[in-house]
Amino acid sequence: MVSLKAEGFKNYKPYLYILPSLILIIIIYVYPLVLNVIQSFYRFSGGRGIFVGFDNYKYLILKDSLTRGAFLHNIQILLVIPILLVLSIFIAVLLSERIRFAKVYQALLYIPFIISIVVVGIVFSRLLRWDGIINFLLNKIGLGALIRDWLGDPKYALYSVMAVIIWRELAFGIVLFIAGIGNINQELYEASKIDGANWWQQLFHVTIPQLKSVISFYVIYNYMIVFAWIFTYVYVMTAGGPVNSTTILELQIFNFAFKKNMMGMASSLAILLFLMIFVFIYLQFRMRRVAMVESY
Amino acid sequence: MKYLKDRLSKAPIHIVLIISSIISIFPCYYIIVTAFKDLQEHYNNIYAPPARWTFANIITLYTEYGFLRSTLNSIIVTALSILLALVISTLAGYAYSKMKFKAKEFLFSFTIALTGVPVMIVLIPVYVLASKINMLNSYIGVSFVYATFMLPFCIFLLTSFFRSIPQEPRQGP
Repeated sequence: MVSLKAEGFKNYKPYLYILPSLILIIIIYVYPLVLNVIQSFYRFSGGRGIFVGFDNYKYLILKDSLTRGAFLHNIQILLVIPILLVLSIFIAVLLSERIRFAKVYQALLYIPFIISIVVVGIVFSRLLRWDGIINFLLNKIGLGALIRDWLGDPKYALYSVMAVIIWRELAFGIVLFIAGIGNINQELYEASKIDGANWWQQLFHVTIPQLKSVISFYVIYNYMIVFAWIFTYVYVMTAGGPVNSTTILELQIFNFAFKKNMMGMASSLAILLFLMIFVFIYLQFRMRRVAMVESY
Repeated sequence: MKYLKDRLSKAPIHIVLIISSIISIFPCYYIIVTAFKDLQEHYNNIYAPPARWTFANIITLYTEYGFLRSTLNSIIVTALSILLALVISTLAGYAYSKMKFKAKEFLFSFTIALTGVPVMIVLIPVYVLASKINMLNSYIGVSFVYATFMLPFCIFLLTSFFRSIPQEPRQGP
């Protein structure tokens, strides 16, 4: 009887902890999402909805070249993840060496993250202009051949946007990895030093393996950023142009909903985007559990 | 001598960090410098510090555009929504990181995947719902909405950090 009671107690307690978050999520996320799923099966014209089944999805996946282009741009922007990972681990490792002014550098490097994305976009569209400071500096150091309209050239606009994303998101990575490195047991470094490991060997055989869980967190976080949070950068700096060379999935949703008045299509694309993120995170979570079970 | 050698070996680190710091703060410097220039000077000299510092821009912002009221609103809404998000996501993050229950994986990945929901799509139904329960134009209503938009990420962050705390101290006396 006692054990039964204990069992029951054990079972409902966790749910009590997550209940407040679930209630809010159901009201503000799930209810609109359900409406959204329903909408995605309709086509709206003249205030009336016509049921079209999976036609919206079929159109988006098979026929719409603009959406496919936007998807490919998102995939291309995923390139920022390895770059961010390498840069932020590198700078965090340098900052964790016992050097002077480490706190000052850390504070300065964190500044980009506290500027709002809209301001970042406006400032960088000024700096990356034809007569902006980037081209001015390139000219000064004798790389005049590289001068171009960074955001106005379809070939380079997407790379410029990626550079700005890296500029801002790097700050968060650095702080995260400094915290991660701080949590590593110092004895591991002393032991490896006695074994004769040099700086690089310590980096690759002690620091990076110990940061595994932080790295996986950072990769998921950036995956979400790339698929769901870069709308503001693109909208402020290029608005998808020139010649749709920086259109991303989120911008495509925005265009369907508010420019072309195709709410059904926008809903379908939103659902597809949501599924892409959900499936990735779920698979990653399952894989990590398998890895944890195997390691014990 | 050894001390000097030690200092010199760290010079490359300082050089890398100084360059990256400059890249980090340059746009911020540009914002600050531009805020204190008048329009004329902004066009003539874009990047250098202003020759004549002017506070006219900031004064106009507060007197003509009602920036004081906006600042106050921002502070109230930020404080309320951070408080809400912090309390709720700490509870949830604790459960997701330290407790075992059915559907944990599914609920957790569902919650986190919600960061991927474009806010624009959610807004219209939430607006209609808020107007039905008289929550429009109130600090409480908008704070709840903001807090919920923050929740998935906060839960994700806190769960990851709670997971790295060892179990033992919790089972102590």
